[in-house]
Amino acid sequence: MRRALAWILSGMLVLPLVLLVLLSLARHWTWPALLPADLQLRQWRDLFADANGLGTVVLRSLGMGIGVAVAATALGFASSRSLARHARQGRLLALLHLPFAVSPVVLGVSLLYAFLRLHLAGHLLGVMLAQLVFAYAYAVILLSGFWNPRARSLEELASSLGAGRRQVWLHVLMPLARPLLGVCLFQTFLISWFDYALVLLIGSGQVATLTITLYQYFSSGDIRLAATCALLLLAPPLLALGLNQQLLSATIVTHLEAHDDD
Amino acid sequence: MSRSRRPDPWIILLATMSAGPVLAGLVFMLLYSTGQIGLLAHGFTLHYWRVVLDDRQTWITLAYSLAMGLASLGASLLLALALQAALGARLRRGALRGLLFVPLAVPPLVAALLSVEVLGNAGLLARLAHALGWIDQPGDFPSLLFTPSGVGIVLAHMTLVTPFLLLLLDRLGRNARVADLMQVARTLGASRWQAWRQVCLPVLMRAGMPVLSVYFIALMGAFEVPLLVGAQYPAMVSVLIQRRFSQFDISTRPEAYVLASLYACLAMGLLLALFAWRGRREAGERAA
Amino acid sequence: MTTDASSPTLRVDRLGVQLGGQVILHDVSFVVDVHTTMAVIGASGCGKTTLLRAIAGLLTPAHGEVKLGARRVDLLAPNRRGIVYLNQEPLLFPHLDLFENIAFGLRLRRLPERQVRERVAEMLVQLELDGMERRHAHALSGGQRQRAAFGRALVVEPALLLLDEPFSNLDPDTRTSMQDLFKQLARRRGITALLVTHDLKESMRMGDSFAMMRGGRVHAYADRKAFCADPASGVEREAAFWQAFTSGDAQVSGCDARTADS
Repeated sequence: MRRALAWILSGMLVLPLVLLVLLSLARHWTWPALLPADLQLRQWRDLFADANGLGTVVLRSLGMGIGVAVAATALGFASSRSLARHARQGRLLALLHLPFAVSPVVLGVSLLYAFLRLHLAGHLLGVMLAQLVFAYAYAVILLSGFWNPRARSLEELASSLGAGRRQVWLHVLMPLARPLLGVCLFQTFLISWFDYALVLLIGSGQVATLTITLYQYFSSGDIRLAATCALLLLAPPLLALGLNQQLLSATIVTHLEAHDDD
Repeated sequence: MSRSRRPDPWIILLATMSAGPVLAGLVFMLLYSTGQIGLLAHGFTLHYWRVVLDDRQTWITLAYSLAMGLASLGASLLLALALQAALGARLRRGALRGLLFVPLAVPPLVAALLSVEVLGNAGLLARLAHALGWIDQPGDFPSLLFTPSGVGIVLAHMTLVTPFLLLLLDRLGRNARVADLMQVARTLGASRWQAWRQVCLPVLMRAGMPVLSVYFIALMGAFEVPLLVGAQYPAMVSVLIQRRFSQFDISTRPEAYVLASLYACLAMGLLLALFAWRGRREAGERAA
Repeated sequence: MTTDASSPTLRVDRLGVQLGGQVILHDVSFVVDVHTTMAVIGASGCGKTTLLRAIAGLLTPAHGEVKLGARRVDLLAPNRRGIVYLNQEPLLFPHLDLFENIAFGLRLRRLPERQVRERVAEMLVQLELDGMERRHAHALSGGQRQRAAFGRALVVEPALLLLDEPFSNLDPDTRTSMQDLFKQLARRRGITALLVTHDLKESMRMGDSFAMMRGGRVHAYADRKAFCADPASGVEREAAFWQAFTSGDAQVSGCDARTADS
């Protein structure tokens, strides 16, 4: 009974991926066929061959994601240390949740005007900045779990042994935090990589990312290409899952570590 | 805490980056929607606020968002608790352990796309029903998507949220040593059901409350899923704001700002209430 | 469950436990007389905890019988045995305050509210925890938590109390006062108990009868004298060590100091 249930659940978890692959390869999949008639790899080739095609979009999305991730993680690591030592930790933690509470659409709508004035709307940089608001807040919350008493005593030990500020960061804190920093980089990358609302609003139709392209194909009825975009969107996180589940489970760790000991 | 009275620059950055955009955006929307700035500025007016506050759709949308958020989270939580009770340690073994992470790799946009392809009138389930001889045409399949009931929204969110909750419950359970606590309850005379009901459930809910409530607020403001599988009317709040904001007719913009301001205040109010409540609970338990 | 014939004799007969194909308990047999405490001494890993968990019904034995008085309990669910198992650590329910923790078992038995209040209040006084009713576990000290766990077990008047190294996490002073408290309560309430420990002094203080556990086998002694006389018990070694000290000949067995304060 348990075993059967486990198998059903496993099936339900895998099925969507199989469906996406079928959708992206099927030339025709007419009602009421259970499986598509002919599967072809051709559109995958066409998609990337096109000069202005998906290749550029993927590179743009990747670049944005990496930029946002690096900035959010670097700034977040430094801020999280100050947060962990702050007397009003609880209140600051509440502030960090604000962007997530008001939702990307509301924030995007409300900031668009200011971004237009600053000539940031419709630009890559503007979209990245908006994404950074979310990624940074996330990074601080995640990384604040790192500054437990153990990290602090190691930091103090290093300085009592004669290490300067820079040396403490470079030779003690960074290596100590490396696994968590990796998780943070990856998760903040996903915040940008998965984002649709902010690109839509701040990008104002001028910034074509993978999610925007997916939606365009979907709304124009081209399910095959939309599914292909979807597969591309899933590729980095699924790859990471194969390498290290920790990278994806971070969301769960975050909240626990951040909330456990306050 | 700090050595000097000089404020910590990292804390300033933290406050500026998190509260800054939210508050700046809110102030801007208030000014714009009262006719003080922007293309439609003709001096102070409460016209747009009156229009939006008088519009029944505003309140329906806010209530609908609240309901969809609650339903999505509630249904996912029930399913996750049921699966956890039914599967127990099997969730942590074999292929299932890794597969539970797969939905964490799926963005809402893709989840919505998949919902259309599985639950739609010509989707996989409808084809299956046809193959089994239950229906003849796509139209015979019960409408799960684009309906005011929001079944599609809830189902799509469930695929995203349930696996996350399963992993969360598992982790919370191990952190709080729920299995051991349940054994204590058992030797004190609790039946299996009593141990689950009186120990496991309250311990998990207590520990999970902060994450669950933040998750609820985020679901209330969900955008991609209701955009793709939601009904035209009623719309969830993010969808309605975006719709009014992006219309060619720029005159609906102030109304979009009013709605967005209302929603922002609602969500922020909920969040701050949550944090205040948590602070009080912890202080109360320490004192006594 | 636990009325007039509340504390009957415990009889364990040829109890065997296998875990993962490994034999943990070999045909264990012994008797604990009514209203007495048997102390089982053994090194860690000898199967002490397994023995208690098997008696409590928290794991399924391969064979053998457990009887309380005339009643065979090993086929009953743990909650129907009237046996309370006390962990090494005091596991208080985190969602309940001190009062409700102690009242937990009484509420399960659907006692009238007034009785619950009276019995919990009385227990709190005996434990010297009165005035802390509304505190939660994390606002109590280690010793207070341990006392609370004790009270929670004793208040339901179990037919048998199983103690698994209950004092090992406490500092020496608290440990001694807890041992005294337990003896007091056990005598006053006529409790039958089985205590496992690796601490020789603790077993001598708390036990009315004694047994030695080694490699999954239990050897029960006829009386205290027999226990002390058995070289394997270590009582004589311990006594010799202290004698050597008091007669000023410390170097001889100085390296044995570890045994003395274990």
